[in-house]
Amino acid sequence: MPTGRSEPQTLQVVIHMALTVDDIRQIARLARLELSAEEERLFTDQLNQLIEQVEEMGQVDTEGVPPMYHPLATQHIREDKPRASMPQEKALDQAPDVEAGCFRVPKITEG
Amino acid sequence: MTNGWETVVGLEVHVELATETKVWCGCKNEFGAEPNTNVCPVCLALPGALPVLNERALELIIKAGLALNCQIERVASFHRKNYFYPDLPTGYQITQFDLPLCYDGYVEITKADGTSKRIRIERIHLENDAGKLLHAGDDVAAAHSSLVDFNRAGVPLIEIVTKPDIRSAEEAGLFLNKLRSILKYTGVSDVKMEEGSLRCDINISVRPEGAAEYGTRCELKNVNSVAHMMRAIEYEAARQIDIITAGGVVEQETRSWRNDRGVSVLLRTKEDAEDYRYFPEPDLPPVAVAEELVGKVRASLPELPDAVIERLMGDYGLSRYDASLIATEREYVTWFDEAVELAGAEQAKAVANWQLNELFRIMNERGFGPEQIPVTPNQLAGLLKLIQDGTITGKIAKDVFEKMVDSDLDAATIVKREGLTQVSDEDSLREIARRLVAENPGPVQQWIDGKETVAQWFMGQVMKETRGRANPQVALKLVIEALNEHTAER
Ligand SMILES: [Zn+2]
Repeated sequence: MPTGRSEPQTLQVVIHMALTVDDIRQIARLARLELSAEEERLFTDQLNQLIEQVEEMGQVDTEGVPPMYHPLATQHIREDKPRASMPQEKALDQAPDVEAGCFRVPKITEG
Repeated sequence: MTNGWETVVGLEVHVELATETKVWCGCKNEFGAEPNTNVCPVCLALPGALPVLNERALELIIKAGLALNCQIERVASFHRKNYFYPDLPTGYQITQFDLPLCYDGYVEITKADGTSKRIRIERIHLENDAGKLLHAGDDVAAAHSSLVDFNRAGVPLIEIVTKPDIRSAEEAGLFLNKLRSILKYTGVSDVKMEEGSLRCDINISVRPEGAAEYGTRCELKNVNSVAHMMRAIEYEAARQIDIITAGGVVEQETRSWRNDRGVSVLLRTKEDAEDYRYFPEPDLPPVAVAEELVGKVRASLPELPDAVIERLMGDYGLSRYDASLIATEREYVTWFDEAVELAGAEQAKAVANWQLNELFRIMNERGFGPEQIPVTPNQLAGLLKLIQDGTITGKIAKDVFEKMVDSDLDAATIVKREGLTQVSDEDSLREIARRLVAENPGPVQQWIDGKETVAQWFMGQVMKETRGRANPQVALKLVIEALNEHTAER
C-alpha cells in the first residue's frame, strides 16, 4: 500500500549491483513463469545487458526536471453514459471452460 | 484498550462509486445483473482495448475528497498494481500511487460521552474493482473449481486510507458510520454493505499505554460490516496482547477475518508479502483537475452531517449526541426538519425525543431502513398538538404513536376512534379516587404514617382504572384530597 501523497519520483536508474540468478527466479515467480536452469542463466545475462543500456540515461543531469508520467500531458475523459456491452455468449466464446454463464477456473483457496 | 494496553487502528475503506457506467469503459455499473453481461473488450482485458476515464467517477472522488476535508491534487496520475488472481482479467489493477486525487483530510466523530475526535484521512485514490469469484457447486469445500463473473470488473472504487488515529473498536465504528453518512449524503455511493459496496481492511497494533512507538501491526482483510469490524478489532487486539503478555512477539502478517467463527486466520507472513511492482500506467495519461471542476463540485455539496449537527444544536438546543444520531441519515434530517416546521420550533426537542426514542425503537424492532420511516412528520405534529392542548396524556400518546405506525390515520382520528381522550373531568375522577381510598386501608395507613409516595401509588391506580386517560396532575390532586378527607373523617 502506498502511503500518503509523496513528491513525484524522479526516474532513478542507479543500479549498484547486477541482477543475480536469484533475482531472475524471483521475477519469474512473480510473473508465474517456469524457467529452466539454462533459461535462468540466459535471461540473467540478457536482463543485465538491458539494464546497462538503460543506465546510460543516468548520466543525463535531471536536476530540477519534473518527472514525466506519460508522453501526453493529460487525458481525455468520457461522459458517464452506458454503451452496449458484449452478449454473454460472445464474452464466453474464447473461454476454455464455462458454467452457468461464468468462466470456470481451477479452485482458488486463498481467501 | 484496557489493562494498560492501547489499540492503534488505521482503516483502508473501499467504496464503490454510484456511477452509471464502469470507470474505464461504458459497461453498466449495476448490481445483480446476469453474469458476464456487463462486459466488453476493455473490462475483459482483450488485446488492444484501451481504458478511458469516466468523468462522473472523477467528479465523485473529488466530491468525496471535499466532503472529507481533503486537498485535491491538480494533476493526478495512475499506476498499475500487478498481481495474478482469476477475478482480475488484466493481471493488474489501475490505481494511484504517489499522486492520489485527494489527500490530507479528516472526519470528526462524536463519542457517546459527547466529546468529539478528529480522525485524519491520509489519502483517497481512484481504482477499479475486480470481478467476482463464485464457488461452483453447493458444497464450497468440495468444489474443484470457481466461477468468475466479470460484471464487477472495472466498477469504480475509491480507497479511503486513514492515519492510525483510531484507538478502539468504538471509535472505528463511529468513524465508519460517519463516513457512510457522508458518502450517502453526497451521493458518492449507495454504501450498501450487504451488496459489498463498502469493504474495509483494518491495520491494527497494540502498545502499552503511554508508549511512544507503535507496535508491530497486522492487516485484517475481508471485513464488510460495521459490527464485524468492531468485533474483528476487539478480537485482534486481544490476540496481540495475549502474544506479548505470554512473552512472544507479534509478527507482521496479513490475516483474514472469519466472522462466522469469530477469529482471524493467517493469510500471509511478511516474508511472502506481495510485491506489486507499481509503475506508471502507460494507457492513461495524468488527469488534470481544473479549478472550475473543483468549484463546480464544491457548489454541489449538500448540507453535510457536521453542519446538520451544529444547526440542530444551535437552532434547537439539542445535545451533540442527539443531533449526531439524527444526522446519521439524510432521511432522518429531512423528517426532523419537516416535523419541526409543522409542529413549531418550540416543539423541536419533543420532535427529537419522539424520533430518537419511539420512532427509532420501532424501526429497529421491525428492521426498517431510513427510507422506510413508518410515521410521517405530519402525523407526529398532530400527535404533539393533542399532547400540548391536553387532549391526551403522554402515556396514551405512546399508544397512539404505535397505532400510527400501522396505519395512515392521523392522531386525532385514532384518539376519537379509540376513545382515548384525556379525562380531566374532576367529578368522575374524584369518585374513582374516593372509592380507591375506601377500598385500600393498608396503603391509607401508610399515608397516615407519613409515607408520602402512597399518593403516587393511588394516582397510578386511577390511571389504571381510566386506562391511562386520566390527566395525571388532576388525578394526583384529587387523590391527595381524597386521602385527606378520609384521614379527617377518622
Ligand atoms: Zn466494459
